[in-house]
Amino acid sequence: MAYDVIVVGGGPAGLSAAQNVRARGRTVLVVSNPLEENPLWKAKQVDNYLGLPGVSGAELLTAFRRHAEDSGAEFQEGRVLSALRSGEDWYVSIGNTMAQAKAVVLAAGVARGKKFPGEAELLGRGVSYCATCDGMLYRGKRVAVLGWTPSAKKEAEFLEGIGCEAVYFDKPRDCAILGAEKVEAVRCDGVTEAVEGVFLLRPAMAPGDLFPGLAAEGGFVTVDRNMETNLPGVFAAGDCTGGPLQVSKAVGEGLIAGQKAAAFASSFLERL
Amino acid sequence: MRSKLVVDYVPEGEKKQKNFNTLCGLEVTTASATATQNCDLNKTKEENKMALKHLKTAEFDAAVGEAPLAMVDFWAPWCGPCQMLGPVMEDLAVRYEGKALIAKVDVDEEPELARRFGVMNIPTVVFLKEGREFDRKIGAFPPAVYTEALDKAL
Ligand SMILES: Cc1cc2nc3c(=O)[nH]c(=O)nc-3n(C[C@H](O)[C@H](O)[C@H](O)COP(=O)(O)OP(=O)(O)OC[C@H]3O[C@@H](n4cnc5c(N)ncnc54)[C@H](O)[C@@H]3O)c2cc1C
Repeated sequence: MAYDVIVVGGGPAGLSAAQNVRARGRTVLVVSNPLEENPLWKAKQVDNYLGLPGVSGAELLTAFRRHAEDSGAEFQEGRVLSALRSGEDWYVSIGNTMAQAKAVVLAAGVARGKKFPGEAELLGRGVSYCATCDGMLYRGKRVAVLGWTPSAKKEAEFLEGIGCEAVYFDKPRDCAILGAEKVEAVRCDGVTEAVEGVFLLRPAMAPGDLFPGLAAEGGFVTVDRNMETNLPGVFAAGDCTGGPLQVSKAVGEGLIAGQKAAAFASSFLERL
Repeated sequence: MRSKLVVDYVPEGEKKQKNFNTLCGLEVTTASATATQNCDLNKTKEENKMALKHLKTAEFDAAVGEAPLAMVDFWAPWCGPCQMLGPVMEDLAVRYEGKALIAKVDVDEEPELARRFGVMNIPTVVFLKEGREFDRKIGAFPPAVYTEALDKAL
Protein backbone atom coordinates (compact mmCIF):
# COMPACT_ATOMS: atom_id res chain seq x y z
CA MET A 1 0.00 0.00 0.00
CA ALA A 2 1.17 3.54 -0.72
CA TYR A 3 0.89 6.37 1.81
CA ASP A 4 2.24 9.89 2.03
CA VAL A 5 3.94 9.14 5.34
CA ILE A 6 4.78 5.98 7.27
CA VAL A 7 5.42 6.27 11.01
CA VAL A 8 7.58 3.60 12.63
CA GLY A 9 6.49 3.21 16.26
CA GLY A 10 3.15 3.91 17.90
CA GLY A 11 4.21 5.56 21.16
CA PRO A 12 3.69 9.21 22.11
CA ALA A 13 6.05 10.53 19.41
CA GLY A 14 4.65 8.38 16.61
CA LEU A 15 1.02 9.04 17.51
CA SER A 16 1.65 12.78 17.70
CA ALA A 17 3.39 12.67 14.33
CA ALA A 18 0.52 10.73 12.78
CA GLN A 19 -2.14 13.10 14.09
CA ASN A 20 -0.20 16.06 12.72
CA VAL A 21 0.27 14.44 9.31
CA ARG A 22 -3.52 14.04 9.17
CA ALA A 23 -3.99 17.66 10.27
CA ARG A 24 -2.08 18.58 7.10
CA GLY A 25 -4.40 16.42 5.03
CA ARG A 26 -1.89 13.73 4.14
CA THR A 27 -2.32 9.96 4.49
CA VAL A 28 -0.38 8.11 7.16
CA LEU A 29 0.25 4.55 8.30
CA VAL A 30 1.51 3.86 11.81
CA VAL A 31 3.36 0.57 12.24
CA SER A 32 3.81 -0.65 15.79
CA ASN A 33 3.40 -3.45 18.26
CA PRO A 34 0.20 -3.52 20.35
CA LEU A 35 -0.29 -0.47 22.61
CA GLU A 36 0.01 -2.59 25.77
CA GLU A 37 3.58 -3.45 24.77
CA ASN A 38 4.66 0.19 24.77
CA PRO A 39 7.02 0.94 27.68
CA LEU A 40 4.83 3.78 28.96
CA TRP A 41 1.87 1.39 29.39
CA LYS A 42 3.38 0.19 32.67
CA ALA A 43 3.79 3.68 34.18
CA LYS A 44 1.32 3.86 37.09
CA GLN A 45 1.41 7.61 37.34
CA VAL A 46 2.72 10.31 35.06
CA ASP A 47 2.94 13.60 36.92
CA ASN A 48 4.70 15.88 34.49
CA TYR A 49 2.41 15.86 31.48
CA LEU A 50 1.00 19.37 31.40
CA GLY A 51 -2.62 19.70 32.42
CA LEU A 52 -3.11 16.06 33.32
CA PRO A 53 -1.35 15.40 36.64
CA GLY A 54 -1.66 11.86 37.98
CA VAL A 55 -2.76 10.28 34.75
CA SER A 56 -1.53 6.72 34.16
CA GLY A 57 0.67 5.74 31.23
CA ALA A 58 -2.03 3.44 29.89
CA GLU A 59 -4.64 6.21 30.04
CA LEU A 60 -2.37 8.64 28.23
CA LEU A 61 -1.45 6.13 25.53
CA THR A 62 -5.09 5.16 24.99
CA ALA A 63 -6.10 8.81 24.63
CA PHE A 64 -3.21 9.49 22.23
CA ARG A 65 -4.09 6.47 20.16
CA ARG A 66 -7.78 7.34 19.98
CA HIS A 67 -6.95 10.88 18.90
CA ALA A 68 -4.70 9.62 16.11
CA GLU A 69 -7.29 7.06 15.00
CA ASP A 70 -10.07 9.66 14.98
CA SER A 71 -7.94 11.92 12.83
CA GLY A 72 -7.87 9.19 10.18
CA ALA A 73 -4.46 7.64 10.71
CA GLU A 74 -4.23 3.99 9.68
CA PHE A 75 -2.60 1.35 11.84
CA GLN A 76 -0.78 -1.87 11.18
CA GLU A 77 0.42 -4.17 13.93
CA GLY A 78 3.89 -5.50 13.28
CA ARG A 79 7.58 -4.84 13.33
CA VAL A 80 9.42 -2.81 10.74
CA LEU A 81 12.47 -4.84 9.77
CA SER A 82 14.13 -2.62 7.25
CA ALA A 83 13.53 0.26 4.90
CA LEU A 84 15.09 1.36 1.66
CA ARG A 85 14.62 4.18 -0.80
CA SER A 86 14.30 3.52 -4.49
CA GLY A 87 13.47 6.35 -6.85
CA GLU A 88 11.52 8.82 -4.75
CA ASP A 89 9.77 6.29 -2.55
CA TRP A 90 10.62 4.68 0.74
CA TYR A 91 9.80 0.97 0.87
CA VAL A 92 9.23 -0.32 4.37
CA SER A 93 9.02 -4.01 5.18
CA ILE A 94 6.64 -5.02 7.95
CA GLY A 95 6.83 -8.73 8.83
CA ASN A 96 5.84 -10.43 5.61
CA THR A 97 4.26 -7.37 4.00
CA MET A 98 5.49 -4.10 2.57
CA ALA A 99 4.26 -0.52 2.43
CA GLN A 100 5.57 2.54 0.64
CA ALA A 101 5.57 6.27 1.28
CA LYS A 102 7.28 9.49 0.28
CA ALA A 103 8.39 10.23 3.85
CA VAL A 104 9.06 8.22 7.00
CA VAL A 105 8.95 9.27 10.64
CA LEU A 106 11.11 7.13 12.88
CA ALA A 107 9.57 7.14 16.36
CA ALA A 108 10.82 3.79 17.60
CA GLY A 109 11.78 4.75 21.16
CA VAL A 110 15.05 3.60 22.63
CA ALA A 111 16.50 0.25 21.68
CA ARG A 112 17.64 -1.06 25.04
CA GLY A 113 20.35 -3.65 25.13
CA LYS A 114 23.40 -4.25 23.00
CA LYS A 115 23.99 -6.97 20.46
CA PHE A 116 25.03 -10.32 21.92
CA PRO A 117 28.39 -11.93 21.23
CA GLY A 118 28.13 -13.88 17.98
CA GLU A 119 25.00 -12.06 16.84
CA ALA A 120 26.58 -9.84 14.18
CA GLU A 121 29.18 -12.45 13.24
CA LEU A 122 26.62 -15.18 12.55
CA LEU A 123 23.99 -13.04 10.86
CA GLY A 124 23.02 -14.88 7.71
CA ARG A 125 24.52 -18.08 9.09
CA GLY A 126 21.77 -18.96 11.51
CA VAL A 127 20.95 -15.61 13.13
CA SER A 128 17.67 -14.08 12.01
CA TYR A 129 15.36 -11.25 13.02
CA CYS A 130 12.30 -12.38 11.09
CA ALA A 131 10.51 -15.65 11.79
CA THR A 132 8.00 -15.20 8.97
CA CYS A 133 10.80 -14.44 6.47
CA ASP A 134 13.37 -17.06 7.26
CA GLY A 135 11.31 -19.67 9.12
CA MET A 136 10.78 -21.83 6.05
CA LEU A 137 14.55 -22.25 5.67
CA TYR A 138 14.63 -23.94 9.08
CA ARG A 139 11.83 -26.46 8.58
CA GLY A 140 12.57 -29.68 10.42
CA LYS A 141 15.35 -28.03 12.41
CA ARG A 142 15.79 -27.11 16.03
CA VAL A 143 15.83 -23.36 16.57
CA ALA A 144 15.85 -20.96 19.51
CA VAL A 145 13.53 -17.99 19.77
CA LEU A 146 14.72 -15.16 22.00
CA GLY A 147 11.62 -13.12 22.70
CA TRP A 148 11.15 -9.89 24.58
CA THR A 149 7.48 -9.17 23.74
CA PRO A 150 4.22 -11.11 23.86
CA SER A 151 4.06 -10.94 20.05
CA ALA A 152 7.36 -12.81 19.93
CA LYS A 153 5.59 -15.85 21.40
CA LYS A 154 3.24 -15.81 18.43
CA GLU A 155 6.22 -15.90 16.10
CA ALA A 156 7.57 -18.92 17.99
CA GLU A 157 4.20 -20.62 17.53
CA PHE A 158 4.38 -19.79 13.82
CA LEU A 159 7.75 -21.55 13.64
CA GLU A 160 6.34 -24.62 15.40
CA GLY A 161 3.42 -24.53 12.99
CA ILE A 162 5.61 -24.77 9.91
CA GLY A 163 7.62 -27.65 11.33
CA CYS A 164 10.50 -26.19 13.32
CA GLU A 165 11.32 -27.35 16.80
CA ALA A 166 11.36 -24.05 18.69
CA VAL A 167 12.98 -23.53 22.09
CA TYR A 168 11.62 -20.33 23.62
CA PHE A 169 13.66 -18.01 25.82
CA ASP A 170 11.47 -15.47 27.57
CA LYS A 171 13.20 -12.09 27.96
CA PRO A 172 16.72 -13.47 28.37
CA ARG A 173 19.23 -11.00 29.79
CA ASP A 174 22.59 -12.32 28.85
CA CYS A 175 23.08 -14.49 25.78
CA ALA A 176 25.85 -15.65 23.50
CA ILE A 177 25.41 -17.21 20.10
CA LEU A 178 27.90 -19.97 19.55
CA GLY A 179 29.32 -21.50 16.42
CA ALA A 180 32.26 -21.13 14.08
CA GLU A 181 30.95 -21.34 10.51
CA LYS A 182 27.31 -21.32 11.45
CA VAL A 183 25.10 -21.31 14.52
CA GLU A 184 25.59 -24.42 16.62
CA ALA A 185 24.17 -23.39 19.98
CA VAL A 186 22.86 -20.55 22.06
CA ARG A 187 23.56 -19.86 25.70
CA CYS A 188 21.19 -17.64 27.65
CA ASP A 189 21.45 -16.92 31.38
CA GLY A 190 23.45 -20.10 31.89
CA VAL A 191 21.27 -22.43 29.82
CA THR A 192 22.81 -23.85 26.63
CA GLU A 193 20.72 -25.33 23.83
CA ALA A 194 22.06 -26.92 20.66
CA VAL A 195 20.25 -25.23 17.77
CA GLU A 196 20.80 -24.47 14.09
CA GLY A 197 19.03 -21.14 14.10
CA VAL A 198 18.46 -18.26 16.52
CA PHE A 199 15.60 -15.82 16.06
CA LEU A 200 16.04 -12.58 18.00
CA LEU A 201 12.73 -10.77 18.39
CA ARG A 202 13.34 -7.52 20.25
CA PRO A 203 10.68 -4.88 20.82
CA ALA A 204 12.79 -2.23 19.11
CA MET A 205 15.65 -2.32 16.66
CA ALA A 206 18.69 -0.07 16.53
CA PRO A 207 17.89 2.78 14.12
CA GLY A 208 20.96 2.05 11.99
CA ASP A 209 19.78 -1.54 11.47
CA LEU A 210 16.47 -0.27 10.09
CA PHE A 211 17.88 2.47 7.86
CA PRO A 212 21.32 1.68 6.44
CA GLY A 213 23.43 4.83 6.51
CA LEU A 214 21.36 6.69 9.09
CA ALA A 215 23.54 9.07 11.09
CA ALA A 216 23.46 8.40 14.83
CA GLU A 217 25.54 9.24 17.86
CA GLY A 218 25.68 7.17 21.01
CA GLY A 219 22.72 5.11 19.77
CA PHE A 220 20.53 8.17 19.18
CA VAL A 221 19.46 9.40 15.75
CA THR A 222 21.03 12.69 14.69
CA VAL A 223 18.37 15.29 13.77
CA ASP A 224 18.18 19.02 13.13
CA ARG A 225 15.52 21.40 14.43
CA ASN A 226 13.13 20.15 11.74
CA MET A 227 13.62 16.61 13.09
CA GLU A 228 15.19 15.81 9.75
CA THR A 229 17.85 13.08 9.62
CA ASN A 230 20.70 12.79 7.12
CA LEU A 231 18.51 10.63 4.83
CA PRO A 232 16.11 12.36 2.43
CA GLY A 233 12.50 12.12 3.63
CA VAL A 234 13.38 10.48 6.93
CA PHE A 235 12.44 12.33 10.11
CA ALA A 236 12.84 11.15 13.69
CA ALA A 237 11.10 12.04 16.95
CA GLY A 238 10.89 11.06 20.60
CA ASP A 239 13.19 8.92 22.69
CA CYS A 240 15.08 7.70 19.61
CA THR A 241 16.60 11.17 19.10
CA GLY A 242 17.95 11.38 22.67
CA GLY A 243 17.06 12.72 26.08
CA PRO A 244 15.22 13.88 28.02
CA LEU A 245 13.32 10.63 27.63
CA GLN A 246 9.93 12.12 28.48
CA VAL A 247 6.44 12.11 27.04
CA SER A 248 6.06 15.88 26.48
CA LYS A 249 9.30 16.06 24.58
CA ALA A 250 8.28 13.04 22.45
CA VAL A 251 4.89 14.60 21.66
CA GLY A 252 6.47 17.95 20.76
CA GLU A 253 9.06 16.40 18.48
CA GLY A 254 6.34 14.21 16.94
CA LEU A 255 4.44 17.37 15.99
CA ILE A 256 7.45 18.84 14.20
CA ALA A 257 8.36 15.57 12.48
CA GLY A 258 4.74 15.00 11.40
CA GLN A 259 4.39 18.47 9.93
CA LYS A 260 7.74 18.35 8.17
CA ALA A 261 7.13 14.85 6.80
CA ALA A 262 3.72 15.95 5.49
CA ALA A 263 5.35 18.96 3.83
CA PHE A 264 8.03 16.74 2.33
CA ALA A 265 5.37 14.40 0.86
CA SER A 266 3.36 17.37 -0.40
CA SER A 267 6.34 18.76 -2.28
CA PHE A 268 6.07 15.81 -4.67
CA LEU A 269 2.40 16.48 -5.34
CA GLU A 270 3.03 20.15 -6.01
CA ARG A 271 5.64 19.33 -8.59
CA LEU A 272 3.23 17.21 -10.64
CA MET B 1 -1.48 15.88 -23.30
CA ARG B 2 1.02 15.75 -20.46
CA SER B 3 3.22 18.73 -19.92
CA LYS B 4 6.95 18.29 -20.18
CA LEU B 5 7.27 19.05 -16.50
CA VAL B 6 5.43 15.89 -15.57
CA VAL B 7 7.88 13.71 -17.43
CA ASP B 8 10.83 15.57 -15.92
CA TYR B 9 9.73 14.71 -12.42
CA VAL B 10 8.96 11.04 -12.92
CA PRO B 11 11.01 9.00 -10.44
CA GLU B 12 14.00 7.19 -11.95
CA GLY B 13 12.47 3.73 -11.64
CA GLU B 14 9.25 4.71 -13.36
CA LYS B 15 10.77 6.76 -16.13
CA LYS B 16 10.60 4.18 -18.84
CA GLN B 17 7.00 3.33 -18.25
CA LYS B 18 5.80 6.91 -17.88
CA ASN B 19 7.54 8.01 -21.09
CA PHE B 20 5.93 5.10 -22.83
CA ASN B 21 2.52 6.12 -21.57
CA THR B 22 3.11 9.59 -22.88
CA LEU B 23 4.06 8.13 -26.20
CA CYS B 24 0.88 6.13 -26.18
CA GLY B 25 -1.01 9.27 -25.35
CA LEU B 26 0.35 10.82 -28.52
CA GLU B 27 -0.59 7.80 -30.57
CA VAL B 28 -4.10 7.81 -29.24
CA THR B 29 -4.63 11.34 -30.46
CA THR B 30 -3.04 10.88 -33.85
CA ALA B 31 -3.27 7.27 -34.96
CA SER B 32 -6.09 4.98 -36.01
CA ALA B 33 -8.08 2.72 -33.71
CA THR B 34 -5.96 -0.35 -34.51
CA ALA B 35 -2.77 1.49 -33.70
CA THR B 36 -4.25 2.48 -30.37
CA GLN B 37 -5.03 -1.14 -29.58
CA ASN B 38 -1.48 -2.14 -30.40
CA CYS B 39 -0.20 0.40 -27.94
CA ASP B 40 0.09 -1.82 -24.91
CA LEU B 41 0.60 0.15 -21.72
CA ASN B 42 1.83 -2.96 -19.98
CA LYS B 43 4.59 -3.59 -22.43
CA THR B 44 7.38 -1.98 -20.40
CA LYS B 45 6.30 -3.98 -17.39
CA GLU B 46 6.59 -7.12 -19.53
CA GLU B 47 10.01 -5.96 -20.67
CA ASN B 48 11.05 -5.56 -17.05
CA LYS B 49 9.91 -9.06 -16.34
CA MET B 50 11.88 -10.38 -19.31
CA ALA B 51 15.05 -8.58 -18.28
CA LEU B 52 14.74 -10.14 -14.83
CA LYS B 53 15.18 -13.92 -15.11
CA HIS B 54 13.42 -16.34 -12.77
CA LEU B 55 15.71 -19.34 -12.53
CA LYS B 56 14.83 -22.94 -11.73
CA THR B 57 17.36 -25.42 -10.36
CA ALA B 58 17.66 -27.25 -13.70
CA GLU B 59 18.63 -24.15 -15.68
CA PHE B 60 20.60 -22.34 -12.98
CA ASP B 61 24.14 -23.55 -13.64
CA ALA B 62 23.97 -23.09 -17.39
CA ALA B 63 22.48 -19.60 -17.14
CA VAL B 64 24.81 -18.34 -14.43
CA GLY B 65 27.90 -20.13 -15.79
CA GLU B 66 27.46 -18.49 -19.17
CA ALA B 67 27.15 -15.02 -17.71
CA PRO B 68 30.39 -13.08 -17.20
CA LEU B 69 28.60 -11.37 -14.33
CA ALA B 70 25.44 -12.37 -12.50
CA MET B 71 23.45 -11.16 -9.51
CA VAL B 72 20.97 -13.62 -8.02
CA ASP B 73 18.29 -12.62 -5.52
CA PHE B 74 17.19 -15.53 -3.32
CA TRP B 75 13.71 -14.62 -2.17
CA ALA B 76 10.21 -15.86 -1.33
CA PRO B 77 6.79 -14.33 -1.80
CA TRP B 78 6.01 -14.50 1.94
CA CYS B 79 8.92 -12.31 2.93
CA GLY B 80 8.35 -8.57 3.44
CA PRO B 81 11.92 -7.42 2.88
CA CYS B 82 12.01 -9.51 -0.32
CA GLN B 83 8.93 -7.75 -1.65
CA MET B 84 10.61 -4.47 -0.84
CA LEU B 85 13.64 -5.48 -2.89
CA GLY B 86 11.47 -6.64 -5.82
CA PRO B 87 11.11 -3.25 -7.57
CA VAL B 88 14.82 -2.55 -7.05
CA MET B 89 15.80 -5.80 -8.78
CA GLU B 90 13.36 -5.15 -11.64
CA ASP B 91 14.86 -1.73 -12.15
CA LEU B 92 18.45 -3.02 -12.01
CA ALA B 93 17.62 -5.79 -14.49
CA VAL B 94 16.67 -3.15 -17.04
CA ARG B 95 19.66 -0.93 -16.25
CA TYR B 96 22.18 -3.78 -16.52
CA GLU B 97 20.62 -5.54 -19.48
CA GLY B 98 23.39 -6.82 -21.75
CA LYS B 99 26.00 -6.24 -19.03
CA ALA B 100 24.97 -8.61 -16.27
CA LEU B 101 22.46 -11.35 -15.67
CA ILE B 102 20.02 -10.24 -12.98
CA ALA B 103 18.02 -13.20 -11.70
CA LYS B 104 15.73 -14.33 -8.92
CA VAL B 105 15.40 -17.72 -7.26
CA ASP B 106 12.31 -18.58 -5.23
CA VAL B 107 13.71 -20.53 -2.25
CA ASP B 108 10.35 -22.14 -1.62
CA GLU B 109 10.24 -23.63 -5.13
CA GLU B 110 13.97 -24.33 -5.39
CA PRO B 111 15.05 -25.50 -1.94
CA GLU B 112 18.08 -27.39 -3.33
CA LEU B 113 19.56 -24.20 -4.76
CA ALA B 114 18.96 -22.36 -1.52
CA ARG B 115 20.68 -25.15 0.39
CA ARG B 116 23.60 -25.30 -2.04
CA PHE B 117 24.25 -21.59 -1.53
CA GLY B 118 23.74 -21.91 2.22
CA VAL B 119 20.96 -19.33 2.15
CA MET B 120 19.64 -18.96 5.69
CA ASN B 121 18.13 -15.50 5.52
CA ILE B 122 16.12 -13.95 2.74
CA PRO B 123 16.61 -11.85 0.81
CA THR B 124 20.19 -12.94 0.11
CA VAL B 125 21.73 -11.53 -3.03
CA VAL B 126 24.68 -13.48 -4.45
CA PHE B 127 27.13 -12.05 -7.00
CA LEU B 128 28.86 -14.46 -9.38
CA LYS B 129 31.51 -14.29 -12.11
CA GLU B 130 31.19 -17.17 -14.58
CA GLY B 131 29.28 -19.11 -11.99
CA ARG B 132 31.67 -18.47 -9.12
CA GLU B 133 30.48 -16.49 -6.14
CA PHE B 134 32.58 -13.43 -5.24
CA ASP B 135 30.27 -11.46 -2.98
CA ARG B 136 26.91 -11.60 -1.22
CA LYS B 137 24.59 -9.18 0.56
CA ILE B 138 22.24 -10.44 3.24
CA GLY B 139 19.12 -8.34 3.72
CA ALA B 140 17.53 -5.60 1.64
CA PHE B 141 19.62 -2.53 0.87
CA PRO B 142 19.32 0.61 -1.25
CA PRO B 143 20.07 0.16 -4.97
CA ALA B 144 23.54 1.76 -4.67
CA VAL B 145 24.78 -1.19 -2.58
CA TYR B 146 24.06 -3.56 -5.46
CA THR B 147 25.24 -1.28 -8.27
CA GLU B 148 28.53 -0.73 -6.45
CA ALA B 149 29.20 -4.47 -6.24
CA LEU B 150 28.22 -4.91 -9.89
CA ASP B 151 30.21 -1.94 -11.20
CA LYS B 152 33.34 -3.06 -9.38
CA ALA B 153 33.17 -6.38 -11.22
CA LEU B 154 32.28 -4.98 -14.66
C1 LIG C 1 7.94 2.79 33.72
C2 LIG C 1 8.10 4.07 32.98
C3 LIG C 1 7.63 5.26 33.53
C4 LIG C 1 7.75 6.46 32.84
N1 LIG C 1 7.27 7.60 33.40
C5 LIG C 1 7.31 8.77 32.74
C6 LIG C 1 6.76 9.97 33.30
O1 LIG C 1 6.26 9.98 34.43
N2 LIG C 1 6.84 11.10 32.57
C7 LIG C 1 7.38 11.14 31.32
O2 LIG C 1 7.37 12.18 30.69
N3 LIG C 1 7.93 10.03 30.76
C8 LIG C 1 7.92 8.84 31.45
N4 LIG C 1 8.48 7.72 30.88
C9 LIG C 1 9.19 7.82 29.58
C10 LIG C 1 8.23 7.74 28.40
O3 LIG C 1 7.59 6.49 28.42
C11 LIG C 1 8.97 7.91 27.07
O4 LIG C 1 9.73 9.09 27.07
C12 LIG C 1 8.00 7.94 25.89
O5 LIG C 1 7.22 6.79 25.86
C13 LIG C 1 8.75 8.10 24.57
O6 LIG C 1 7.88 8.04 23.49
P1 LIG C 1 8.34 7.54 22.06
O7 LIG C 1 7.11 7.58 21.21
O8 LIG C 1 9.53 8.29 21.61
O9 LIG C 1 8.85 6.06 22.25
P2 LIG C 1 8.09 4.78 22.83
O10 LIG C 1 7.01 5.20 23.74
O11 LIG C 1 9.14 3.89 23.32
O12 LIG C 1 7.36 4.16 21.56
C14 LIG C 1 8.04 3.52 20.54
C15 LIG C 1 7.23 2.34 20.09
O13 LIG C 1 7.72 1.90 18.82
C16 LIG C 1 7.84 0.50 18.84
N5 LIG C 1 8.85 0.10 17.87
C17 LIG C 1 10.20 0.18 17.99
N6 LIG C 1 10.82 -0.31 16.92
C18 LIG C 1 9.85 -0.69 16.08
C19 LIG C 1 9.86 -1.28 14.79
N7 LIG C 1 11.00 -1.57 14.18
N8 LIG C 1 8.68 -1.57 14.21
C20 LIG C 1 7.52 -1.30 14.84
N9 LIG C 1 7.45 -0.73 16.06
C21 LIG C 1 8.59 -0.43 16.67
C22 LIG C 1 8.23 0.20 20.26
O14 LIG C 1 8.01 -1.13 20.57
C23 LIG C 1 7.33 1.15 21.01
O15 LIG C 1 6.05 0.63 21.22
C24 LIG C 1 8.39 6.49 31.56
C25 LIG C 1 8.85 5.31 31.01
C26 LIG C 1 8.74 4.12 31.71
C27 LIG C 1 9.25 2.85 31.06
